[in-house]
Amino acid sequence: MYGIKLNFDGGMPIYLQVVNQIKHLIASRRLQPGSELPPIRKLAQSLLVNPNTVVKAYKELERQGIVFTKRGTGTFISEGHSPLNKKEQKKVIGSLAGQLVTQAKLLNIPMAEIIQEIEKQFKEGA
Amino acid sequence: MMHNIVEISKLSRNFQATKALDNISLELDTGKVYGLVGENGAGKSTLIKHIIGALQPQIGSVKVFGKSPAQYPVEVLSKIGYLSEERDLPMWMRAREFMDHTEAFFPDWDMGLACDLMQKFHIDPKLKIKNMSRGQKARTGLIAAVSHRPELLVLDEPSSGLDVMARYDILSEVVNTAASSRSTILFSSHLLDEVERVTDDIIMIHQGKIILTGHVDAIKSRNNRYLTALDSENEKVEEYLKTGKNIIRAVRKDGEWLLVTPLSHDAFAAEMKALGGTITEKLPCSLENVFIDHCSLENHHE
Repeated sequence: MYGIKLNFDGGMPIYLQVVNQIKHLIASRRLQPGSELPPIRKLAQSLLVNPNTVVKAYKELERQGIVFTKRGTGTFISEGHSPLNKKEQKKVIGSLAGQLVTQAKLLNIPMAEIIQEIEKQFKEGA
Repeated sequence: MMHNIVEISKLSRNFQATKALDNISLELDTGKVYGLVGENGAGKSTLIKHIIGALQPQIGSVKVFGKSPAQYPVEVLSKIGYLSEERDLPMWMRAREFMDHTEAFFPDWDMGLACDLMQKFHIDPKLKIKNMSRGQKARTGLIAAVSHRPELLVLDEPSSGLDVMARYDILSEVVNTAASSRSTILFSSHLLDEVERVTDDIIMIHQGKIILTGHVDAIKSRNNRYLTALDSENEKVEEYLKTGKNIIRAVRKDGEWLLVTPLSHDAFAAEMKALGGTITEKLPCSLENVFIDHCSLENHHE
């Protein structure tokens, strides 16, 4: 679901992997503020993990103010809250910019043209 | 209110000269998923057989729903769903006949659920069990084990010898059962990532003894793996590696020492410093690492 991928090589607790990937989904606007996260049971089914692990992940997201729960209805993404702090944001953008620059160099596209394209997409609200 | 579905106290079992279970005490809480892990012959199946009343305790006691399953099989077993690795199903029956047959044993049997699951798993009700593939047999056994919505579901190596799709269906049903009811689930498996996915708590058993229990994250946090630079020619270091109380395992690895410890980074760094050594790298820790670190014969020294 949402392309969440879990890794069992021992790096990170499963619930934290879920937390981080949901944060990235929100940051990349694949999940919109105000929209609802999948019900616990459904996400547990689709990731094939213990439902309590999803409960723990949602609780952690709630503690960080990224989502809120409406009793009896579900878990929703908070409005106007960037789920990533400045440092994390910079890391995400830095890595994408790195890819963009590498690709531009490969294709011999000058920097001005890249900036122009970014400006255009920003204005169109892509 | 009763919290412990299963209460095992000081259970031991000998098969001739072999100690299959050695002073096992264990409690299973309502509504949790437990993963039972251990090598072949560690005692997993023997433990499970005591829980379903197939074996009577020689030493110690086993209570399920507050009663001895060996003495009150009808009452206890009506609330248990059980699937074994052997999946000994009646080969001459068709899938639907097997469900009708199983229904007779369980007052709370839900034929609607059984039919839904047969459809979901593409089991033809008219198919004879002897003509089923291994995966279909496992799925059929699983349906029979869950369709009375048991308070305790016991799965003994349910994935053993199955392909990816059959394993997926079984795990998915475990998650589904855990999410939709207050069932307690105990399952044993060799596939540690499977166990890690779906369990709340791990029970690790080795040579008939329980050596670790708890949430997988907690267990891992007490199994820190460091590569260290240490001079093992030094007597103090040698002594520490052999008998250090904070050393779970010490192995020589590419000129360094791999040390496994329950200590946090800072506390362990201080111990290393006192011995004139340093931590060179912290290694990640999978459940498989924990298992090997605790069960390896080379513990403490090569």
